[in-house]
Formats: sequence, structure tokens, C-alpha cells
Amino acid sequence: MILLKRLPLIVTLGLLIHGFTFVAYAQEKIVVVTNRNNDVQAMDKKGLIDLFMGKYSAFPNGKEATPIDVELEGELKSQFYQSLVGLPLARVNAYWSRLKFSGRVKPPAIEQTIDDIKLRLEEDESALAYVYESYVTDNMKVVFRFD
Amino acid sequence: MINVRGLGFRFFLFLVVAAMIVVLVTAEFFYRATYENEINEANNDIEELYQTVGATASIAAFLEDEDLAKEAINGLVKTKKILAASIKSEALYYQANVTEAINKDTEPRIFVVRHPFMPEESLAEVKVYPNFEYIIQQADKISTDNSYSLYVEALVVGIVALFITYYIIISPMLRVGRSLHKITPGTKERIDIPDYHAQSEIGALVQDTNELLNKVEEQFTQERQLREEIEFLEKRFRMLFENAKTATVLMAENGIIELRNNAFNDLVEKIGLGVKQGYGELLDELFETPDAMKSALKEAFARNEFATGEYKLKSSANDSAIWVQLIASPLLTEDGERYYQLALNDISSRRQELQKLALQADFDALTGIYNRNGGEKLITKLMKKEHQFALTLIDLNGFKAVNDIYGHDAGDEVLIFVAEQLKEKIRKNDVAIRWGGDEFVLLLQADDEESVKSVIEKVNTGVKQPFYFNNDTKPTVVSMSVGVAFYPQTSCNLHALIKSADIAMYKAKQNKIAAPDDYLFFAAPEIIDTERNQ
Repeated sequence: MILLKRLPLIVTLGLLIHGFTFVAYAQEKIVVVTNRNNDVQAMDKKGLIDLFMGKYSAFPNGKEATPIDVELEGELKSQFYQSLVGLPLARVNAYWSRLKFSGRVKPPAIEQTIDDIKLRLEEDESALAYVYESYVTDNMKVVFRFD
Repeated sequence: MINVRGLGFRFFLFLVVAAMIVVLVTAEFFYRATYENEINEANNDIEELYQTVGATASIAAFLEDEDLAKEAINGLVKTKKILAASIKSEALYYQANVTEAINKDTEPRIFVVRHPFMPEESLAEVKVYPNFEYIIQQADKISTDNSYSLYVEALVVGIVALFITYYIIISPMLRVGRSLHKITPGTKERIDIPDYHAQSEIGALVQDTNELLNKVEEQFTQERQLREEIEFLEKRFRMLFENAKTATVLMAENGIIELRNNAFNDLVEKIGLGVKQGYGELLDELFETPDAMKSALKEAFARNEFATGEYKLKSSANDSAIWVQLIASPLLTEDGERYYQLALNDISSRRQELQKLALQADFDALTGIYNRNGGEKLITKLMKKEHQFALTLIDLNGFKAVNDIYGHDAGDEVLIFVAEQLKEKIRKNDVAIRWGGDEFVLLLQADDEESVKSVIEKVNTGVKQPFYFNNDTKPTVVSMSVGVAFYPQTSCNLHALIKSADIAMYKAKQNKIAAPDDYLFFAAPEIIDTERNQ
């Protein structure tokens, strides 16, 4: 009875949340970037998965690759993994926590903020990171775009 | 409590055996069902098991990580339902137990391992070999357990059925049976209907039995009454029979006496024969002339009539003769057996009496020869038979004087003497009769005067002998005058005949002093004719 009385409220709330999310997606596109000097010009999704999910630690051309996660930009990270492997962050974390025991496979390196990522990308040629499209600077080379 | 041959045990046995057979038959179906079920379940289980390691396998295939692959495969093989498993991708191969599984010709289930992040891409395949041996064993175990539990159930049902039948059927039946056993038929005792069985078959049985007992009692009562009546009658009949003065026997055809009374035993004792089983056919051992008796009886029996007759019984020399009146009747039982009823009435005394009476009537008490009455009967009889004879009338001369002088006793003595002389001197077929007073008649078998004369002379010689009374020195002599008439020459009529003889005798009497030797005269036939004409 109580639930029925409050049904309109629940529906409204639901719609609001949904609309908000949709707005967020629509707001920012995520791109995968490398050091400007990196030989890799473009990557496909599979290649990104292989690197970010620990299968390979090198670019297809054989050069070392260091995928980087952003620790404090939860929204970005979440959106990225959702787009890349279709999994929520919790599942991705679980995946890694499971693989850490074996030791052979390494999770992506961690930077705290977008600014740290920017710095890292400038310094580290092997770095591979994801940012909102709007953050892309001249020092970055976009190798993949999520549509 | 349990009778091995009783209904309860039989019921129990049949029930259990039937249940066992059903279990036996259904066990096979159960087994098949269980087997298929187990296989299906095992397949499901394998699928589920694969689901649990699927993610690991997927990651292993993605990362080409052997440790993870091992983990996944070992995880599968760890369960008993899986005999072997293998994972194979382009870069990775790991297996556990597969050789054994292939040796056992086990068909594997194949699972496609998808890319963990790009499900549309398949990376490897996992082969899972079910442990059919184990599954079958499980199925066997389950169906065996099922069968066992069914057997136990059948047994339990049997025992429960036994108890139920015992309490519902057998126990009340036993109670009914026991009380029926104790009941004496014909009494007022009845069987109680067991509790709660008023409407049941047992109740109906008890009611019917009680009704039967009612009828039996009724019949018993009737029979008892009848028996009492019969006993009463029998007692009376027995009294009648046993105390009867008439010796009576019931005899079989072969002469064995079936029934006899005291009078009969007394009779046989009396004639010196001991009491024994039989006395020959128709008691012939008892009789002096058995042949006559037997023929008379058999003749009557042949006509299916009763026979009666008077017969003399055998007797030892010193006993007086016993005469019986025998009444014999043939009896035919319902079974067609032949019996004889013989009644022997002792008529000895009556017969003696009769004989005495007859003697008194026909004989002279003093002399013992025929008297006039007997004589006349005899003459009539001879006449009837048309025997020729000579009627000789004798009158004594001098008898009156003896009577007067010496008294009646002397007279009687004379009469006895004369009678003896007459008896002595006549021939065998001649008869002497005291006609009355001092008159005698001789019936001589003769048709001519000569033969009469010769007999009469002898008689005369005898009679004329002198005898002495009271030591008297003077002898007394009695003479006789005789008149003779012939039958049938003289007359055919008795009175005429006697009268003729009387006339002839009278003539002779007239000569008794003048010509004592001319004492015999014959009657003239012509007179007879006139007599007859009268």
C-alpha cells in the first residue's frame, strides 16, 4: 500500500537519475592517448583491452606499453572501463584482485589526477592513458576514440 | 498370537509377496528412470560446475595463463561427477585425466570459452568428460536404496496389514470361534457379537450362527421330547414283552434269536435245554415233531400269513409233556430283512384238563373202558365210515345178587373184572363198552356169526371164572346173556341196531336157567326193516 502510494515519486526519481546519467555521457567523450612521440598512431579496441586488462605489456610494434589508471577521477575511470570491456568498475577491480596472486600479470599503473596523467604522458613515452576529449593537449596523441 | 496357517499370516504373506513382486518388477523401471534422471542431473551439474570455472577459464584463455587454466580444469576434475577435463586454445593446452577418459570411450561435453571482455569472440574450448561410472554407480545406489526402501515399505505394510487384520478380523473371529467351541448345541448359550461388528460380515456370521443355534436348540428340544416319549413307550413295551406269560421270540431267518423274554427262557429251562443263541430254524430243536411244525409254518409263511398250531415240546422222560400253542408270524423290515415272531403259549395244563374232560365224557370211570356216550360216538363214527361190525350186547346174570349180598364194592369189583376180561379176550380191533349198569357192548370187527361166536366164547370163558369174596368158601360165578346185531346187515340205524341186539339178548336171557349154554342169540334182519319203516 505504502509502495503504491509512493509509486509516482519513485518513477519520477528513476527518470531523473536516468536523465542525469544520459546527460553525463552526452557531455564528455573519452579518448585514449599516448605520448606525442609514440610510434603508435592508432589502436583498436581489442588492442586496448589486451593492454589494459594485462594480456600484453607492449604495443603491437613491440615497444613497451604502460597503461595508466586515474585513481581519483572515479567517473572517468568507470566510464572508460564500461566502454572498453562493458563491465562496472567493481568487476574490473575484482578481476584484478584475483589476478594479483599469480604475479605474472600486472594491472595498469596508477596516477592520482588528470593532471598527474598529463605529466606522466609528457614524460613517459610508453604511457597509455584515457582522458576526456576536452583534456587532450598537444603533448598527447589520440590513438582511440570512443563513439 | 500368530497362527502360521491362519488367515492373518496368509494375508500378510500374500501381501508381502505381492508387494515384493511389484517392487521387483518396478525396480527395473525405477532404475531406468533413476539412471536417466541421474544422467540429466549430472549433465546439469556439469554445466553448473562449468559455470563456476567458466570465468576462470575465460580469463586463462584471454591471458593465456596456464596457472589459471590449471585452476579451472582441476576445479572441474575435483568433483566426482567429472572424470576428466581439458582446455585448449591456440596458445594453451591443459588437461587432466583425459587419457583415462578416452580409454573408457567417454564422450566429452564441449564448452566454448568466450573472451571475457568480448563475448562475441571465442578463445578456447573446454572438454568435460563426465564420470559415467560414478553416475551409474550413483544411479544404482539410489535405485537400490529406493528398492530397499520399497521392500521395507512392503514389509511394513504387510506387518501393519497383519496387525489390522488381526485386530479387525482374526481376533474377533478367534473370539467367536472360541465361544462357538464352548457352546453345547441345544442349550440356551449364544455367541456374543464382537464389539463394533454389529454391521460387519463377522457380525452377520455370528447372527446366522446364532439363528442356526436357535434352530438346533428347537430341534434338540423336539427330539428330546420325542425321545422321552419313545423311551416311555419303549419302557412300557418292554414291560409288556418281558413280563408276558407267553414265551415270545423275535428271530432272524437263520434261526438266531434277536429278542426273547423271560417266559421263553423259563420254557427252555423247563424242557432241559439251556439258554442259547438259537434253537435251529423256527425253534425246531424245541419240538418233538419238528417236521410237522415246520411244514405247517412254512406253508403259512408262503402265503404270508401267520401260522398257529398246538405242538408238543421235547421232554426228558421223567417230565410231564409240555404242549404249546405256537403262533408264528413272518415280519418283513423296511430293509427287506425277514424276521419271525414266535409266541409259545404253554397249554399243557389246559390240554390235560381237556383230556380229562374228554375221558370223563367218553369212558367209564370205574372200569376205564368206553361208556355209553363214548360207545355211541364210536358206533356213529364206524357207521359214517361204513365199517362192517357186529354189535354185541352183553347183560350179566347174577350181578344183582353179588351187589345185594356182598355190597356195592364187590359189585364194582365184579364190573372191573368183567371189563378186564372183555378187554383181554377181544381182538385188537374190537372195542369194549360199558353200556350202563351191568350191561356191556362189544363192537366186533365181523360180518358173520361164526367169527362172532368164536370171540364171544372166549369172552364167556373168561367172565365165567369164579371168584371168592370175603374168604367165602362158596365161589361166586357171573354169567352173561348176549344179543348180536350186524351192521349194516341187521340195520343201518343206530337205535334200530341196538334194539335188535337188545331183543336178541332178551331172548337169550330167557334161557339163562333153562339152557345156560345157549346164551348167544343173533337178531333177525326182517325186524330191522319194519324198524326202519317206523
